[in-house]
Amino acid sequence: MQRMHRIVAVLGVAALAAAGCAGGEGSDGEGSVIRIAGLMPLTGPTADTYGASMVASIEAAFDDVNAEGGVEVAGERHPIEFRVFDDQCKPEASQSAAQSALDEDYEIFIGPICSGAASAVQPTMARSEAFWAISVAVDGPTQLPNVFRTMPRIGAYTDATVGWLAEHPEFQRIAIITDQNHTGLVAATDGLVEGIEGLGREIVANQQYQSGDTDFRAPVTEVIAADADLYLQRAYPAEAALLLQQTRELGGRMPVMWNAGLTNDNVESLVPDLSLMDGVYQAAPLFSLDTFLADGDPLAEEVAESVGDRAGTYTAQGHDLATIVLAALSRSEDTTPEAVQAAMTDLQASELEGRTLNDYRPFDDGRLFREREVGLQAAVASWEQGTGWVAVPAGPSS
Amino acid sequence: MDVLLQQITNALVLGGAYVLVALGLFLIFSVLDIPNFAHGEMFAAGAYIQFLFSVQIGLPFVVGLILAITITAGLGVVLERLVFRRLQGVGLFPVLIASLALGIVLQQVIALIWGTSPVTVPPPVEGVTALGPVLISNYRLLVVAVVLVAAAGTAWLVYRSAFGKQLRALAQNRPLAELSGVRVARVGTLTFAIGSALAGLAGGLLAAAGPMNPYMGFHPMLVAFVVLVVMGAGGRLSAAVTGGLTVAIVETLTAGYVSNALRLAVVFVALVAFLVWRPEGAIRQASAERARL
Repeated sequence: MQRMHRIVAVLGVAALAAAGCAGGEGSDGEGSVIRIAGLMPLTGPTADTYGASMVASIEAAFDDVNAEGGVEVAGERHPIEFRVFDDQCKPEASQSAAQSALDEDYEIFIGPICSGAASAVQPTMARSEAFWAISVAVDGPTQLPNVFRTMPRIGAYTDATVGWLAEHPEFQRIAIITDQNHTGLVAATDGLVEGIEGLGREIVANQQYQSGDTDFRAPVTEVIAADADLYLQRAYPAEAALLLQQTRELGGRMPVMWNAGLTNDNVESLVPDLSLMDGVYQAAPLFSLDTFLADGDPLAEEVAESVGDRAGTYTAQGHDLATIVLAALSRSEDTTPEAVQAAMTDLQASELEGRTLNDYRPFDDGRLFREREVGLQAAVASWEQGTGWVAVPAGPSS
Repeated sequence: MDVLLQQITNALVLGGAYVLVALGLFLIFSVLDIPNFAHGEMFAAGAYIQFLFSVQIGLPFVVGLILAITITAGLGVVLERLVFRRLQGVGLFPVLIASLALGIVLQQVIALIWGTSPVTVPPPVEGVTALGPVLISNYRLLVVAVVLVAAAGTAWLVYRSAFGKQLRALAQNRPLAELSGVRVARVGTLTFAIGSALAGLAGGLLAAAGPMNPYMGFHPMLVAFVVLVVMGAGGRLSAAVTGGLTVAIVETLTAGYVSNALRLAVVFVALVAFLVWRPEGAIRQASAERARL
């Protein structure tokens, strides 16, 4: 009898412990906390440019939901706890940050948000049973069934550039310089060259450089000597600005196209003389709020207000990413990664109407994702003095 | 031909930056035997001090530059007294590790204060000068002029002044210099201050040459070490100038005529090949006695 009491007591304690582990469900429709891990740079060279704005916009979106009691999953409201693991946008640090989060039993991930980091974490993603929503351009991770991408893949940069070039026959001699540490851009270079040559244009220089380089005068001199009439500078923000300055310094007056997704603030802080920005374009997904605000988008104004001075390079991307994850959670059967994955797969683009800044076009079946990729395009923006980046309307051929 | 001339001018502009960083590193290494891997961060500190005073506080560029030189010199004194002096005689390895660690600490402090986003300092001089077919920005021209003046000033200090005599004595034979009445500790501190001031001058000047970040010191420091290794133990100050410019020419011509992606790789392949051929460096010592400077 005494033994039976002991067994009952142990089972009782175990049951209580299990209930505790489940998150302490409330009695009035309040569910357990949904723990979401972010893999983003909090330190390192890209922390301020990319990490801070991404973290701020995701936190703002989750704060709004938490203020209403949390996200509703199968009739119960679940508060969201978002914790960022610093991946420094570096391969080794990303692997270690991802593993730390997995060791702490996180099952829903947002990030990585840098191509090199995402490629490095891909094997960890493959081994895990977690759900991952990434915001990078590099090909590879979304081949896994548990990884979804909410921004255009790297080919979209190429499509936007080639589409725009098709409408501009005045650019015949094209020069390219690419950051060879940007795995996504490097992988897309052959496709870009093929696309440009397919339009009958000539590639007069196809250069590479290392992240952190500060002197580009030698390649710029080569491009000017080759009489290029468009220079594609595929670089991160600081290097893009420096490339532009040195191009103009050495007498290069040709239009320049970037892929870096620089914001108006980036340009104002990195390019001391804004007259250098005449004839500068960007072909990139619309990461920041700038073009939306220039367009008078009311949602962009709302997001700008909630993020405040933490707005930056990835604010629009971060907002859209968080919104998509929340939409998937709210149609999910429960909070397990398998259920979220299933909900993400079936998510309809119409469910996001008016909630995202970017225009997520539905696939033929109305879904947002096909093969875990969205149907979002990159866009070309031009620099307008006094306004900043303004989206260039896409023509029929783009 | 015009393109070649432009590329050589580009190399002189790049080489100017290397020379300024290499001069300070060379002085500290020659006199004190300290391979100061934190020297690149002193350069970065100079750039951020310039940013603080000329952009954030709004003082004139020249005042910012003077403060960058003075404050980095002071920082050098503090590091020498608190760290490097205490490591004398314990061997090269602990000094090397300590300087690497100090470099990381300085980098993190800069990142903590100013963040990691690139920032810029507007150049005090704008416009571009055409020298025949060659174009060079007026500010870069000014930088090259300052580099020449700084190199000449440092050479005068080392080879013509009374302090320079003590400095050379210390570089050649520390115990003998001490016995001859040279105040070794004082000369050591001043040398560190001058070397750091040169890094501060380089940082303060080049802050206006493009966006800067807390990690900006690594590349010029690496090149400065290449210059030291190539020079060898018998090298004089002029060899640091020639070495800095030579590395820049090799780098630029590789970038212009071979591949920009290979610019540093070619420099390092050349370095290894050179050391295999001449392990003692370009300039041999005249005797068994150390004869640096």
